[in-house]
Amino acid sequence: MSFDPKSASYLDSIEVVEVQRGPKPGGVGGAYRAFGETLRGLKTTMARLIEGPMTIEYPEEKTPVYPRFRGRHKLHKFEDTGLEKCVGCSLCAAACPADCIRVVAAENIPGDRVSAGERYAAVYEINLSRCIFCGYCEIACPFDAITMGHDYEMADYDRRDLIFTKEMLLAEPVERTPLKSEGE
Amino acid sequence: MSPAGREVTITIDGREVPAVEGEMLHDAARKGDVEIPYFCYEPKLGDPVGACRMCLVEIEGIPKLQTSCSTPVREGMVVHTRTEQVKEAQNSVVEFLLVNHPLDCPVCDKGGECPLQDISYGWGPGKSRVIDEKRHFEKPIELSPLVAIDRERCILCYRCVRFSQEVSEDAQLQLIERGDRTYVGTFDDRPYVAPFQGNITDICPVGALTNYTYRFRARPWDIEHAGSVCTICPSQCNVSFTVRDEKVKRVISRDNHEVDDGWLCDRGRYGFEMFDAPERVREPQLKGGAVSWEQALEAVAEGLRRAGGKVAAIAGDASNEEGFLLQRILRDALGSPHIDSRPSRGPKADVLRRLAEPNVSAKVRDIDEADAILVLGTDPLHSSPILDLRVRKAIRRNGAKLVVATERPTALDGGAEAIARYAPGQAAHFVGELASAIGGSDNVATPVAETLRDAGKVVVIWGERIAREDGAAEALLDVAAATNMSTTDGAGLLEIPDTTNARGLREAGCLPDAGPGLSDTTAGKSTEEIREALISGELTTLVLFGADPLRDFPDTPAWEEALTAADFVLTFSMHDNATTAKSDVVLPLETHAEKDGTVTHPDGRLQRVRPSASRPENVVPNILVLSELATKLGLDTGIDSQPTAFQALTNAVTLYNGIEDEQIGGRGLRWQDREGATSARTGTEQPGPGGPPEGGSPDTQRDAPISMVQPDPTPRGVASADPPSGGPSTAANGDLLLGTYRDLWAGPVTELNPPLKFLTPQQRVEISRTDAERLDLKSGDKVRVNGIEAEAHVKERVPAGVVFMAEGVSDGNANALLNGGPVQVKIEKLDEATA
Amino acid sequence: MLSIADTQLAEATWIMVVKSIVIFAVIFGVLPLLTVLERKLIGRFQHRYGPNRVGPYGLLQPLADVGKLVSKESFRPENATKTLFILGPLLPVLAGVLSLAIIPWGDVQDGVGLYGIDVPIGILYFFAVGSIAFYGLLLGGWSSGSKYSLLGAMRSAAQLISYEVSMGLALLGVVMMSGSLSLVSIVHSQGEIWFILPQFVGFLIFMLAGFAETNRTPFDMPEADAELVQGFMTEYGGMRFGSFLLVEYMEILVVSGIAAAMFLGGWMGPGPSFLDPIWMLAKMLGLVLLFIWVRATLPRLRYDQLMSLGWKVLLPLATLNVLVTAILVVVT
Repeated sequence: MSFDPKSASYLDSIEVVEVQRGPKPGGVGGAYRAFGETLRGLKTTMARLIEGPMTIEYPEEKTPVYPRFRGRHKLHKFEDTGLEKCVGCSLCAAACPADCIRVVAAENIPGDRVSAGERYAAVYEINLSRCIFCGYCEIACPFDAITMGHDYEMADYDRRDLIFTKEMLLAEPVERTPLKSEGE
Repeated sequence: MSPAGREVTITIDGREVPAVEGEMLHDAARKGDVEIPYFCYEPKLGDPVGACRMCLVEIEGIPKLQTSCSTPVREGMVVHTRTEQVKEAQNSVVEFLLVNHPLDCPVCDKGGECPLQDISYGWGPGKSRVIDEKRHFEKPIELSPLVAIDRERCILCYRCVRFSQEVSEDAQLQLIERGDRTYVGTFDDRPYVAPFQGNITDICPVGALTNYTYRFRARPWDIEHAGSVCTICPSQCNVSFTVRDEKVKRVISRDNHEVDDGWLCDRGRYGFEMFDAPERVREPQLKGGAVSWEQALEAVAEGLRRAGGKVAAIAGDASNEEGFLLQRILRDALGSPHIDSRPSRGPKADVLRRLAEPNVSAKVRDIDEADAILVLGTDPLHSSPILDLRVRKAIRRNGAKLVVATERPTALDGGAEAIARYAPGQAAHFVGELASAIGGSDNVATPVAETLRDAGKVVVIWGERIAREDGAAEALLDVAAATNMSTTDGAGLLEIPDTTNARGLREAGCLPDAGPGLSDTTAGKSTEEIREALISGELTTLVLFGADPLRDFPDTPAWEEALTAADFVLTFSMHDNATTAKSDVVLPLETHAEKDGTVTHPDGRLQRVRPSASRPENVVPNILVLSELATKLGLDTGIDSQPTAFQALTNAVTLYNGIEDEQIGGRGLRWQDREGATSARTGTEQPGPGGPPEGGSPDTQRDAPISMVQPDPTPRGVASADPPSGGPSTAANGDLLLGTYRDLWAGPVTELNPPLKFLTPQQRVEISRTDAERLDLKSGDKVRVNGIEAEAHVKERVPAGVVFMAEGVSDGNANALLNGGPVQVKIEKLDEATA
Repeated sequence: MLSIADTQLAEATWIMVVKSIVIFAVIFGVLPLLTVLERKLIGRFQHRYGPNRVGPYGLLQPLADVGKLVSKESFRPENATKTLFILGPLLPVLAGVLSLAIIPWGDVQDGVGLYGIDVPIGILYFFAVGSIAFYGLLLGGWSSGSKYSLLGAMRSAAQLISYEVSMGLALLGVVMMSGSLSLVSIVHSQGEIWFILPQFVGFLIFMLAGFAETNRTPFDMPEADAELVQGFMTEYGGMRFGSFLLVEYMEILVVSGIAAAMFLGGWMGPGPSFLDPIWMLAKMLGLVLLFIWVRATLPRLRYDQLMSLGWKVLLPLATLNVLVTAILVVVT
């Protein structure tokens, strides 16, 4: 079969898809359309003006987060005994894709227990400048000792200050982040 | 036991797998790349026990499932490992094992490297139907000061018990109680005390047995494994350092059948905290004060130049490269031939060359296959612990006949066919007698010789210290000739030297009368002669590289005098000790976790020590220090790294010619085994088999051995210690002959490693019952022996007329009493008041 | 032919001086407010607040901006031509201020004309002075010694020439209807009907060309911050850069003033006559708001689109407008 795009057999053999195109620019029609579109644009911006600003003025006003928001980590203690839930098993460090958790475990001394198990985390550090807030540590933790909190204000002037120690992670955040209410 | 069966083909999961008839199905499957889960099976531990039931497989023709670890392979066997029936069995076994397992993985040290975890994930049902209370034990408790046991986690696989009973043969670990109350323990809950106990933590498939030294230190994902070689003793076991944050946290075995068979002694396993001990020398010291490297090297160069050739060097704990560089500095830069690497005396170079002949030297693996083993003048448990396990294995598995000939009772006496005891200082005489007894003559050594005479493959494990006596090494060669070693494959001599890398240093040229590769050279002074020359002022300057004469060398008072007399003493040392205190300049040494270099196993195997952990800030690679020093002294060695040093070494040492670093690899390379290995002694004629060369038994006029003891008629019986029949009795004045030995735990390793401190030995005087009665002593009495206070210890097997004391202990080192000849000691009992 | 003396109101010199000072002061007081107004409005057009940090409602923002611009280094590139580079921003300022003179704020009251000066050639004056501003841009762009500046300046030149023609023709209709070039006369002639109704096409063309004259979106081609990094201003910094911005807003005011006077009846409005300047200001403000609204809405045109709009659409349309107006004026 010879290739002739205009031949009937060729047109029959392919499925023709019509390409949708706008009118050609230029000419009186083009000018008219451009004028119309310009007016439509002016209407659009005017509508925004009437709607008013949607800005959340951040430092004064904080964006509420969802309850499952993954912010800065928190370590937990048992409420009744006050012992740390973390036993220093390092599973969070193993799960961490950014390799930002460092755990050094130690053995509990009877009479001066730190955690509920035989071992506890003598050193628990999260380098928040590396953390990607994926929440795998939370999932890996067999004792629910580490959870992702709602605090997202962690900017600092010194990278060393972004290495959070166990004491910092156990402490409550100074300012509480607002939570989204139901249906919001 | 060893399967010399024929090649057969079996079918596993529809795949044809080649196998050897009689080998265990599990091994055949593993070789054929079929994975069968298991807990208890471990060929190193002897016969399979089938305790864990994890390796069940279906075999066509057998109605019930069989344990693959204990089913020998037959021709045409058809095996299925993945059928429903097998899966159900595996699920059930895992579920059953987990019935009482606490699943406290987050707390458990084994977590992440635990076979039970792996198998539960891989072959387990994933859930449990058991809702009942699990069994409880007190946890964790001390099985020993080094090993913690958590009985709740134990799955009763028997591995540790089998190790204790069949490998280390101490039989201390037992399964106690029956049924679900069974637990692993020792009699009366006494601590498990054994020099190889750390191995049970390696083989435990769960977290029931864990090291206190590694307790909660790291997780598998926190660490890196760095393969290296332990150079604490001459065994040179292959180890893997567990490194976290660039610090060694654990030492585990790196199975090398040619060297250590996968076991490790506790000294090597727990002796890593000394890398960071406070006593560690961390920077160069000049007259006790820390100085910069620049100042220190300047002072050293100045001191050595001032000596004007009147300088000597003694190498101790050093790698081949370091030894090679040291002897080059001494011989080529300072023009002094006085270098040695032995604690006192030793054979002449020509004898060493003959001992190094490949055809009379045995390799470690030859012990496994030997027909008869002679342990001569050494106790492997103390001098090269891993060989003790090797000898036991040969006896147990291969039925090798063991003959022990030593001064002092050894740990291997129990398994010996014949035992000979000779008096301290009589080794040369005894070996000479032994050679002629094997040749057919009838003398004191005949009972021992009878076992060796027609044995076929004879392996002689001999201690370097017998060669301190003139003629002993020559006599040993006669023994070799008499047992046809040179013509028998798998027979030979295996030396246990006094220092870690003795063979490597000798071959690198750290000998007074032989250069690199045991080549001929201008004769210099040996260690003892150096000492005398320092005292007399003939030599003025001494370089000690990893040697501690005040602790390890005989005759401590003379060494004190020599070090005081010397104008300038340069010491390379890992830790502060008495010797560094008397040195002018102390330079820090690297530990075996930091060093980069090669060492040579006593059987000629070159092994690579690799840097695994970070060295302290001011510790510089010793090779660089030595080459810098050489440059300062006007000798350009062209060495600036381990590869260049190794290149220089292999070029200079004919035995090592052409050995590449890749050939050494992780397993090492015996220079005798490679193609075109050069013999140390070329063109020298072989001595005739029966003709002992001059000095074959130079001291025939000496006293006969004190006692020749034969074991009880019952096989494997403990040798009786009857008073000697024909031997000389105690000297007329009541003085006793002093014999010394180096205890496994005597040395800086125990003192510098806190976990091992409880093992630090105290000086004891081992005395025979006869002598004890005569002196009215009982075990535990305080005595004074020629000025050294010690505790008397009455031992059945010590021959009368002799006492034994330990060398190298921190208080009352017996080296202080030795003076090169036989030493008579007077024992005074101290009253409670005076003591 | 009208002579200058005919329409000129004779005033004392001191009155002229006071008038100049007042106009100058008012305009320069309004300009900074204009910038903050623009930024706040654009913010609102985009759902934002705009500047609100400096002072109440961000009203002190211009002060901060000026403070910043003044304190910055007046940088000059090494290969710039010094005198011309300095002259560059000055000429447009001069031109802008001169243009302000003819904007009528009200009629003659108590013998004082509420405008800078009533020139008989009013519109021609506006065109003549406005073209001087363009010399400033061209000189600044060329003397910077940078290719981006030069390109921006060339575009400015082409754009201004293109659109001045249409602008002139658009105003011609008004001139023909009022029969005068004087802005005061033109306002007076709108007593009955504002020229925006009869001259609606002219108004549109004038506004479009006005956008182009003032370099505002969608015709901010000479600046084109995305393509030419601010065009002729690239190498300028500090207050010299600020002058260019100042001129932009001043020109907006001028164009708004001219448009208000020509098409929206100037100061005319209900109420007493003293409200006249207020009406004028209000009308101008309305046009300024239009400028801002358009800026918030429309994207920048392509250069060829700009040219083809100017020459192919606006010029024929303006010509046609003049022709039709001329016929109608002659017929009626």
